[in-house]
Amino acid sequence: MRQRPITAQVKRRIQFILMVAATAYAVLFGRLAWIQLYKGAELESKAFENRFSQITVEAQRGAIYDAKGRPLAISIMTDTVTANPKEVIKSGRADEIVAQLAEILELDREELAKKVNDNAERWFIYVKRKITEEQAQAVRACKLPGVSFLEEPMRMYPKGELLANFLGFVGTDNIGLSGLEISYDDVLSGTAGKRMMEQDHRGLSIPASVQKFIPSQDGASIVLTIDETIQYILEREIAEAVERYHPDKMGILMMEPQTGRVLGMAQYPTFDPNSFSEFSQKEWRNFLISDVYEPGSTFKTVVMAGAIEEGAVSLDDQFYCSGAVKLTAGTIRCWRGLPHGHQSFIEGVQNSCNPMFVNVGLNLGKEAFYKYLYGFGFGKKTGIELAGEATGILVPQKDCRELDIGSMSIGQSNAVTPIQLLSAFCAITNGGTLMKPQIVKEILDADGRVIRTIEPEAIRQVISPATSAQVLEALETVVSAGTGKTAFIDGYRVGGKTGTAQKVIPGVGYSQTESVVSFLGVAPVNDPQIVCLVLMDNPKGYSLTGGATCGPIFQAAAKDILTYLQVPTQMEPERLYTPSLERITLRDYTGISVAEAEALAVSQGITTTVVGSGTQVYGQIPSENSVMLKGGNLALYTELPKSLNQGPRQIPVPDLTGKTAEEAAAIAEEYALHFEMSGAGEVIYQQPSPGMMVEEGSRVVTWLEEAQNSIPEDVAGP
Amino acid sequence: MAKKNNIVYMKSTVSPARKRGETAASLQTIALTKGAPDIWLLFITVFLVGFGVILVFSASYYETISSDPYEFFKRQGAFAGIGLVIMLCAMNLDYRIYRLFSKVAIWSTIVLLALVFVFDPSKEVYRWIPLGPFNLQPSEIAKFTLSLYFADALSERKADPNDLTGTLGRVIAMMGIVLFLVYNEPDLGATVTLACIGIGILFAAGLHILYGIGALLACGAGVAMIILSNEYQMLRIQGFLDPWADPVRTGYQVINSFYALGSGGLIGVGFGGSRQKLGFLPAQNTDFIFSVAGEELGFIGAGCIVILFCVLAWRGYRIAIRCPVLFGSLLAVGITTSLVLQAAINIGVVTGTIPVTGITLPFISYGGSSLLMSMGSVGVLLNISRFRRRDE
Repeated sequence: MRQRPITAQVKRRIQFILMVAATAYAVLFGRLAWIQLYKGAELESKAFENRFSQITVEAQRGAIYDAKGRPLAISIMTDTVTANPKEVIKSGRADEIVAQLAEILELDREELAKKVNDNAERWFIYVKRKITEEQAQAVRACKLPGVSFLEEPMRMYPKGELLANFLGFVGTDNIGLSGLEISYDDVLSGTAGKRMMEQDHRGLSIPASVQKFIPSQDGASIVLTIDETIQYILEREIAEAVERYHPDKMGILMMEPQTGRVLGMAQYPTFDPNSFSEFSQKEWRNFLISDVYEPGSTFKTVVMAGAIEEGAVSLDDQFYCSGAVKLTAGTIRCWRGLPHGHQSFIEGVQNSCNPMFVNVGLNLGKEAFYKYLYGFGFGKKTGIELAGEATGILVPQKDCRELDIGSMSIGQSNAVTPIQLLSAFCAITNGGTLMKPQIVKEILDADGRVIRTIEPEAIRQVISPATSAQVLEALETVVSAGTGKTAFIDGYRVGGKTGTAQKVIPGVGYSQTESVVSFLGVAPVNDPQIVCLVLMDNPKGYSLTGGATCGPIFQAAAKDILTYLQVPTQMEPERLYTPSLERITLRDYTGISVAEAEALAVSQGITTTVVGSGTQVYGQIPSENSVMLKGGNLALYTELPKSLNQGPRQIPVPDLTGKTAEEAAAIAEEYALHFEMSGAGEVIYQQPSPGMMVEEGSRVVTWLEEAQNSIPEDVAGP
Repeated sequence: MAKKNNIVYMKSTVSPARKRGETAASLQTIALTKGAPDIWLLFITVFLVGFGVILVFSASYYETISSDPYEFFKRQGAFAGIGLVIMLCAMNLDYRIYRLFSKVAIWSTIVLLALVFVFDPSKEVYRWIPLGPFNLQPSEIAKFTLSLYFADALSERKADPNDLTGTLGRVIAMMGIVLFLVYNEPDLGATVTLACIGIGILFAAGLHILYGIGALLACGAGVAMIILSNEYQMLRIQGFLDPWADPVRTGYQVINSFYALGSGGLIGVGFGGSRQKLGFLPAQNTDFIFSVAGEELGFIGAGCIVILFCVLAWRGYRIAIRCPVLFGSLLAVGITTSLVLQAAINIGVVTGTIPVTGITLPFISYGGSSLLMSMGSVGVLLNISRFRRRDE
């Protein structure tokens, strides 16, 4: 074969190519050295970070126990379903997998399919978090490719709605969102742990890789001062009362006066924290600490305590109630519309007489009045360890005029929170020491050992023990002989104060039809164990005074709670104000004729007032099973508004002609009519005339034989 | 016209010389002696292939750990075995025989390159012809057949590397067909390699320096146009210029390669210890296998591979220079350029020196067609190295 030989030029050319190649390799060699040797350490650590993943190991949230160690909130581990969209799609069974998951987990199929497709390039999505055991088992049984599980802690409230507004709830990420869960979040949440390890690109652990594990520190548990049984009793009473009065809001707050410990905190409306998202913010709210209201006559206990302490009044001082008290800037009328006449201070307390308290407040004077307002903690947060406490609104001291003092003396003008009022009442009844409301008794570590015991915290001495004793004495007579008779408990000495405050409608002023009724009670008076505030916002029905509505609720709750707390029953007959000590448990008088009912009542030693002109008894006050003292008065109703559930109700105007002012006022009150009168003596004329159907709360104006001046508007009830 | 050289070659024997007159200065019967092949080249090739088989195992076992961790290792091992046989055969087969088939070979290659478009694309590229358990990659064959065609055409009796209407036009047209087909697979890496092989052989054959510069400019312009008109290639350029600008997309490959090389440091994390091969490195057993080597064996190992390819370049071009026959010399240039260029581009890519182009590392990356053709080519190169001019 003849060939062309290689020439010198070709050789030179090839040598040149070789040089180019050698140069290129020299560059590559240098570049490699630069990356591996000069940049090596930096890149190595970056690579390590890139592979290293931290998985947060959530700490188990601490439990919340009641005072006796019964669980109110616990954390359990639940399964969360996750998916790897890449794998799901790769399996070729994506539609089938989505369909099965959607069915078991009750999810929207199209939404889930969209979620998977939208994240097709990712390794991880949540399918559904915190599912039930049954659902988890069902999903596991399907053995779906690309579907896996995560364990996540979930908050459970085994008692459902019990204490819900107090406890609050926890979000999906295990952080407290409301109530105690938020205020004690630091204690409960613990410290999350970390699992750090090298992972491959798919997030799987690498064999023989670097791993580090910092275990999570489980949260501490809390023992409350609240007792589940007490709470249950309070909530039972609320449920019953809500059924009957359909209030907008209702709450019962109970504390131990000596220590300031909260024993129960119940309210309506409420919610189930296990499914909190289905409820509204209004239902989550703990209004007993977050909302302010004008307390009305219950506030007179505070005025009384200050006045007695300052010597501005003593129990035996005599007062005269002319039905109204004229002040420079206006007139304050007594709640009843007719004068109480001559009365001692203690009788004035029993009658919840407004003019008397206005005078007492004025006697006390502005400086001293504020001293006790501040002293009892009004206008400042009580320090209860719950999120969202309100401070209340006081009439600024520098702007406070005579009329303000008068108004404040009967519990209007100042707005307070229920917890403020009851804390002050603790101080009034415990010998004079204001306590910080305490809700947590002990803190336990994850193993249940007590790591901190929280002692009651005294804030200051406000009044002397002697004053405290005198106030208790006066309050006892309110229950034994005054407006609080409905709160009487057989076997215990009970003190209390009723309140019926006209509700302030923001921007409008005092409402003519809506009120906040309440009862502030203490038992037993000889050794106070419980203090309690029952309040109802805008109850519907008839005879809506604090005494008529909240008194019986206090009575029913306190009776069971005192028994539960094993407070010894005792009576000190000589201490009771009313001579007649015999008590009668009322039976059901409805459904029989008036004559029969009257006969029955008389045979039991109680008097009756028949309201209405019918012959059959349809209703009674006090209600069945109430305890009343012998000689007391039972109201029998022969006519009732057709429905108590829908307000405003139409009711027939009763015939008041011929009645005395006192009788007429009582009847009007029972019909929930606004009674007004001119003159004195007997009713000679009324407007509207008897039998007319009017709305509840309408005015009934009466003219009595000897007409006098007109009646002022400002009002505070018993 | 030329009398066939029918001398029987024996080892260490000397063939009779037949000197021709000076009248046929451009075409002569060159008396050759046959000696031992280039031991350096043989050794380097065998070493790189053996090293590659083990590295493929290390780089790939995790990916197939749930089915068969040895899957790639076994296949690469088998190819290496077949490749060794082919290489040894080629080493002992007179390379001048191939001249007879150069046209048939290039046309067959073109048919095969066209045939890839008949079959279903894999990952949207038409690169392979499925042959049962083996996928044939015609562009790998083209690297040899194009070299063969160029070497043959440019060593013909009246071949003129600067005659656009003659030899030059012919080879450029042929190269154009091949490049067109390969580029449309699309396989930019192979296109660049093939273009460089052609230009390299032309340059060695004596292409006028102005033509050479023109060709280089044309290539550069072509590549620039391709890049500017193609969003995918633009992203590659962006990823090259600043990989950290978008570390999860354009910069992802280079960054993970840096991580691997950097983690290796001087001495490496130990054989089999690469972390970056666990799904972080893309194509860790093919295009980015050098990164795995760098991580596991450090700069010492990776630097050795660079040096070995550099030595390979030296030996390959040395063979080309020492070959007395122009055809053998040009064929040696084509083969050597093919291997050296691919290795340089591959290492350039994984070290972030040049933009990402999908080129495998000869002998080491997993891939049957590439391994068989590379080893076969080296076999031919070794055969070329055996012949010396008798009077030397």
